[in-house]
Amino acid sequence: MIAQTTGIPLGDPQFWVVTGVVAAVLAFAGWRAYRGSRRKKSTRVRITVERNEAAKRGD
Amino acid sequence: MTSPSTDASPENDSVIAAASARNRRIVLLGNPNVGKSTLFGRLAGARVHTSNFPGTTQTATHSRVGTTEFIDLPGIYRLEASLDELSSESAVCRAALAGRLPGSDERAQPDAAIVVLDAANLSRNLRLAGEVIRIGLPTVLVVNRIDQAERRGIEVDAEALRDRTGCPVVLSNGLTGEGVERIMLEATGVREPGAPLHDRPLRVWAEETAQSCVRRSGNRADAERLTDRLDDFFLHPILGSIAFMISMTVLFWVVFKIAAYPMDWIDWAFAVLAESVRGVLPPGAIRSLLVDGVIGGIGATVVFLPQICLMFFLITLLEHSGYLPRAALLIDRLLRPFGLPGQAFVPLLSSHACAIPGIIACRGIPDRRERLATILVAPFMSCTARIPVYVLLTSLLFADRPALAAVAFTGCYLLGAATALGTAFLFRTTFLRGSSRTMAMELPGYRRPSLRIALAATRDRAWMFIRKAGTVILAMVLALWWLGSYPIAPPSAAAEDMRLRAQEMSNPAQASALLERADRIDARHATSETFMGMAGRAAAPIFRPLGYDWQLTVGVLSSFAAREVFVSTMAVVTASGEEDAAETETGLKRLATATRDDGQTPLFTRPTSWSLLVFYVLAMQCLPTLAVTARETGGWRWALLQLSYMTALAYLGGMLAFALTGGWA
Repeated sequence: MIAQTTGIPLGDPQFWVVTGVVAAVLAFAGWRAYRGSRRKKSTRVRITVERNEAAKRGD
Repeated sequence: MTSPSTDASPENDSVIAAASARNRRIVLLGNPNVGKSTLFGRLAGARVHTSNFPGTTQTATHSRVGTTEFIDLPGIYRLEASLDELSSESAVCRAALAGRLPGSDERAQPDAAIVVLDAANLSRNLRLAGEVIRIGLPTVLVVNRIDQAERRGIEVDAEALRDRTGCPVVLSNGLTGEGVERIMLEATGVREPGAPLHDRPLRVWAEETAQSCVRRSGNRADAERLTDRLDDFFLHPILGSIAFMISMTVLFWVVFKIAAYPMDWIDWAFAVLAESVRGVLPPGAIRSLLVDGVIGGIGATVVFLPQICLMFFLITLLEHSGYLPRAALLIDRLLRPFGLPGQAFVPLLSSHACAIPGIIACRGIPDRRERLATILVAPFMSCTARIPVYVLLTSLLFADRPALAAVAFTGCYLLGAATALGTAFLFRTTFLRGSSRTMAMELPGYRRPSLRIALAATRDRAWMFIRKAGTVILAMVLALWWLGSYPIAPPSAAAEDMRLRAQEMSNPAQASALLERADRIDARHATSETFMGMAGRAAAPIFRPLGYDWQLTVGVLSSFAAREVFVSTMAVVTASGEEDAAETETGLKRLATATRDDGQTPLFTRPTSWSLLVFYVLAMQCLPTLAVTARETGGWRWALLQLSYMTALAYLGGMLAFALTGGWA
């Protein structure tokens, strides 16, 4: 059955199945991207190089 | 960070037993291209990408043997990059030595370090070893590539080196596995740091140590003379350039010619799969999702796998042969006027397969501004995902003239490369302005390329691509399928009228043709009423100066995340629902004869096709590439800039092409 006003077949079980699958895949991809960005942040290391020390040693 | 599997066996059981006896974390350090990753593969039984090109390992890779964890770190010349800009590689190494494991919040300082030294360049390599010893970490010195050193008349006295440094010393050959067992035993047993360097300058200490441990016979070996002779040829301004052009022509010819066969097979396999699913499932949304969304979307992406595999396979062979660093030096003269270094050559070459590995390869460029400029222009190189769009449009433009179609096809590649150089010049003379440093690269010896390593590298790249197709691209394709399927419009009045007329016809052939036409009208009407169709109609005025109607606008918008989606979208928009219609002869004919809403104006006019061709050469249209740019540049600022200028340039280029070919007449 197609909703007359919107064209969205709310009464069709297949519509809910495919919408659920698409939403699940999008959520999974989003979660992976989020997890990847978190992992990157955890490895980001602030480097502080004491250039003068190395220069003093003549390195 | 990569976490390779440890399925391959290490050298022998005694090695595993030695490793398992203690619970230790051992890091591998060394200068670039000294054979660390090859040794790591031997020690830890891990699959890692190795090559004969400095800077192949860009991130930390770890693998566990028993209770011992080995961490392969990128090649660096110095830990404290005091005289140079800090690179991401030295950051990774310092973090690992400080106990910060890549990809983990766990903090645990390594128990020991294995510093791999090139036997032929001991003096320079020892400076890094001195830094590690200075930290106070128990260290094993591995003098690698002793075979190559011997061929050059260089002999390293391990006993003398041990006395000078206070560290266990092992002579090894990573390629044959010689010394690997000793390395494992020493690394799991070492407890004491090396002899203190006190405040002696590293350079002086390294030179004195090398002088006391190295003996030279004074006779240059044949291999070294051969290397010199080959370098005279490959680095010659004219002969080297000719050799470079020939090698690149062969590379691209093989990639595009040979890969066509497996591409056809994959295409056929997905078509058979789609047909099978169509035969099993009844019509409905689930069947459409599986056939049009999952199989159609994944198939349209995976079909490029053979080209990508072949490209990586050949590039790996070139890397291992030692030719690529020479090509980079040669091309440095060409790239330098545009503000790009010779090291940008490999990333730009890789970008012809896919911009993602190309952008990742930019980590090997030491200067930050040059690295950023290369990352920003890499997506201009025509990647394999653009090929179906080029094929479609050049076929439409030169339907009966394949030679001209081939010229136009090549022109797309040249336009992309020329735009990349021009844009790099613009960036390097404006917001990325800075002095260009002279390219300094250690030239490795020539080597017979290893098929085993090339195949392993290709397999890993293929798996990476398949994973991408199974996650990011699948998600985008499914989202587009949903937006292109709902809401469902009632049948068009014109199509219903045609069907009624077909029922009254006595000639079955005419009735069938009319019904087919009614189906096409209905399909186009249905697409135009979906969310995607609405977006296309809403955005159509923006693309009108380029000659696009709402159907082409839908194609451009739907391919925002992945440019290859354009072909399948246009097939759906203009066809009667037949999968891959655009790739068959009838599909091409249908696209060539497809009309706009007035039923008369061709959808793909000559100016429109030129405009689309230029648009797709210059446009970003690849979400995963944007994500990688953001990751590699440390934020979305540069990625958004890349998206903005590429889209703007594509728009202007498309408009210019439309105007120049008579579209505004």
